Amino acid sequence: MSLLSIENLSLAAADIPLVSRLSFAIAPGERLGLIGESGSGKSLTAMAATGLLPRAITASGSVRLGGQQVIGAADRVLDGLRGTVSAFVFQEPLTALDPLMRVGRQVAEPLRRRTRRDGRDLDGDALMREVHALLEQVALPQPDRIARSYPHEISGGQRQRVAIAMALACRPQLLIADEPTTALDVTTQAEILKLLDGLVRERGMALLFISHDLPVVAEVVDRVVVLKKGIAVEEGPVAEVFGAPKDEYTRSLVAAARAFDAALEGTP
Amino acid sequence: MSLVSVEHVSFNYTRDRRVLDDVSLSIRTGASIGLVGESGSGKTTLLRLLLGLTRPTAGRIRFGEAELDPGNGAFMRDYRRQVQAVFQDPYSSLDPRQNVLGIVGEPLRSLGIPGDRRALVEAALVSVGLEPGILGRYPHEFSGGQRQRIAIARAIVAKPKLLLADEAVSALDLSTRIRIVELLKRLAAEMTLVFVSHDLGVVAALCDEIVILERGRIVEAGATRKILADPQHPYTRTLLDSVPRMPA
Repeated sequence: MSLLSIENLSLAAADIPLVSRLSFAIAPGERLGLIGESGSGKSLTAMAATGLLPRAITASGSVRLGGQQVIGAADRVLDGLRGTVSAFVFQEPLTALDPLMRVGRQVAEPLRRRTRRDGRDLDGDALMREVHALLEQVALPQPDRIARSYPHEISGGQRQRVAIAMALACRPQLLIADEPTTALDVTTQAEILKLLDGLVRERGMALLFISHDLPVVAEVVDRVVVLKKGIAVEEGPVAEVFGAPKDEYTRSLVAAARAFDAALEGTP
Repeated sequence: MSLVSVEHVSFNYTRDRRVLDDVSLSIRTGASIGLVGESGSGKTTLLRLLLGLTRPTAGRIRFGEAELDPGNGAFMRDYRRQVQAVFQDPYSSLDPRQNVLGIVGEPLRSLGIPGDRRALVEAALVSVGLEPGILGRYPHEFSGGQRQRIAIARAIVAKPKLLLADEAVSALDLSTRIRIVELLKRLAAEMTLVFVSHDLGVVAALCDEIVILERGRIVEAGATRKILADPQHPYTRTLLDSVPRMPA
């Protein structure tokens, strides 16, 4: 059975269609990339998947997360799915973290919730030890110091690692990452992609990875859906879609990405 | 011949941290140079110095024979005519209350350039691939790529010798980005271009020369082809290895 199953999803704001009749599914352990340019509806789709849509946007169709219908579901129902079934890593780690709370406490919150779910009530030193272990798993140096820091005291790449640690603390079956490396430098991006790839594989998590950047997507997923103005124009395994794109829009994206690659190889 | 030379320039915003450290660079007439670096490399500060928005803490920048002096009004008027800029975000770099004629014609007015302003603006729009008929329209009516074309038209309307671009395609979608890179490449054939970017792929597609900045220092500089094929500095190699590539 699919972890996430989206069928005929349409999203609109005041009668302006944003996403039209979109369908795709993610099985446990599967890694799917949602590719699109600005305005393609890729982030809205991810938000719809976890019931995070703003009120002004109306949704129709079906979104089932962990077997539970998300569209129209009460917050109480959604709360039960968030963290357990899915966890989210956003694009901008500076706004995703609370600026007034030390990093350690921010990681401790979802961790405590999850351990309670598992029937263990952690607090004090035991909780902090697990926070440090999580910070180590996302390859943060000096977890002691990082845990005591406020978000503004650490670098952008470190903040994104903290955001990933918070998502991992939930032990979700599905990790949703919306442009998680777009705000980062290219060397930091390479490290975060490697980290995400390793963690997702190790834990057998499913991944929904959203990005406009084709080569980045290719590094972490097996299958892609290409969105253009809210419509899925092509879907398939990465090698097929990037190797022999059928749709004209996909072809133009692949050609543009390959042109920059060719320039780097010195063969424009 | 050198159009601009940066000579042993250092810059500190505060006393204890050097943003640029003894940077020297020669910008030849007709060159297209990519200044590549990550956050904190000092690339934007170097660009601000080149624009005369700030003064170096040490060292100097020469434009032809004269020294770039932000305090010298007469020099700066001439400098503004010769050196124009395109910025990263086409949503904040255009005045929302001016129409295209006002925006693109602004340098002609403020620099007191004689001639038929309307005709000059139309010519600039055509050379960036826009319809001359859009003169009366406002920025909100255009897409990101079209806005960036308007910003480029404004930068070239006074026929500058040097075009400075700060991450000018970073905010654009891939398919738009490649078209703006093609436009800049065409323009670079007629003027000198300094293109500041964190994106090596874009710089490789656009520039003949690359200067790699790391934490305020130039670690490597030279012909694009040579640096891509045979990077000398470990940081350049790390940068090149970090760029994600399409699967074969």
